[in-house]
Amino acid sequence: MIMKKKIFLMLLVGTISVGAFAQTTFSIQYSLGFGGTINDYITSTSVRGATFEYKIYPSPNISIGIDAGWNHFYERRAYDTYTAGTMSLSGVQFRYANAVPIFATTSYYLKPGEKINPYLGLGIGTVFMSRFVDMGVFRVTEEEWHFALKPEAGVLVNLAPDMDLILGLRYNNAFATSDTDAISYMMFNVGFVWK
Amino acid sequence: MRKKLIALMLVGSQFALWGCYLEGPDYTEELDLVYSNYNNKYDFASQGTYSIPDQIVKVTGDPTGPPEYISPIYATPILNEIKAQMTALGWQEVDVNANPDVQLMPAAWTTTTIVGGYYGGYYCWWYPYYCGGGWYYPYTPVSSYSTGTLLLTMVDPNLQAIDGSLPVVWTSAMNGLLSSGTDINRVKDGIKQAFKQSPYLKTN
Repeated sequence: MIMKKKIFLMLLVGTISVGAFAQTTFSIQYSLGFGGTINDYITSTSVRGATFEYKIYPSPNISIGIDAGWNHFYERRAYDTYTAGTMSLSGVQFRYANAVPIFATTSYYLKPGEKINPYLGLGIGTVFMSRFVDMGVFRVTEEEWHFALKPEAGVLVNLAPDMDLILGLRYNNAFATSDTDAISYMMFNVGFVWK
Repeated sequence: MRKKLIALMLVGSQFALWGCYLEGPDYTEELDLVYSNYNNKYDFASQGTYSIPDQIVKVTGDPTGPPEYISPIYATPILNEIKAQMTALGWQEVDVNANPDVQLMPAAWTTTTIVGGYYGGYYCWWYPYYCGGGWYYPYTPVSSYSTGTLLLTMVDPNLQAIDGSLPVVWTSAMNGLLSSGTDINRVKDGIKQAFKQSPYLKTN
């Protein structure tokens, strides 16, 4: 855990110090959340999500930065009976999950300066996962911070000298903690990058 | 600059649409729950007779007072539904003095939960402050909800302990938000579900 913190701090300090000399960008993206092991809990696609990114470019091919996002998942499970041992409970379940990924990131750009610029990225950080199930007038809540990694691929489409359209697909992989299992989900992001 | 503004508006409009996405229950029935549990070492199949009171005890939380019972308007259809379900599983009702194999003991209660609300902040409870959107007279917005619970307990009087206690071999609880008009049908549906999810109650 200490090693993970050191890596995170090194990336953060590196990001801030390089920022004084390089180009920076800021991005706001709409985020769809789907797939991954979160499907075991909620199968519906999250249509409520957002991602904010700040990136610094020490060279045209490489960026380092930080990003934070949020996805809200929701599903109504039809009336069903849930059994554990000798106990059975029947009712309608309303399941909710809020995922807040926060990553230090680095990306590699394949065609910088061109109209369409694909990129590959990697993030290391954390995902705060808050889940709760409503059944009847009762609620069961589970909240946990997970260590997480995030591979990402996407494309920047240049719209103006100071603005790009960004399309990205990332896989937020939150590792298991002592109390909860690992959880993962895909994020499809679309938004704008301001230079 | 214009492109930046359009981009911001596009992103902003997506976020604004979030409010149109509704969640949670639409109907009171969606909050109904049925719980059951049983002693898996108990041989239900070899039993055959049961007794049940002709009234349903109302749990008031006051053990010193005289027992109260729920109104026959509600108790009669509830008891009839329980008996119908027991009959369907092969049980025969007998008088409590006729040495029944098991006894069913129904009880019911209601619980009211008061939720203290506020508007924009707790200070809005007391002062006609500007509370994030307009001027309001001082008021204490308080809401409440009431739930009803029917508990059905099955005991075997032949297994009475030395201290007089009776071992519970099956229990079921039906809980739901109280509303007007359709509650009794919901309770009856809950009873049906309790027996449906307890197939081990079937006798030979």
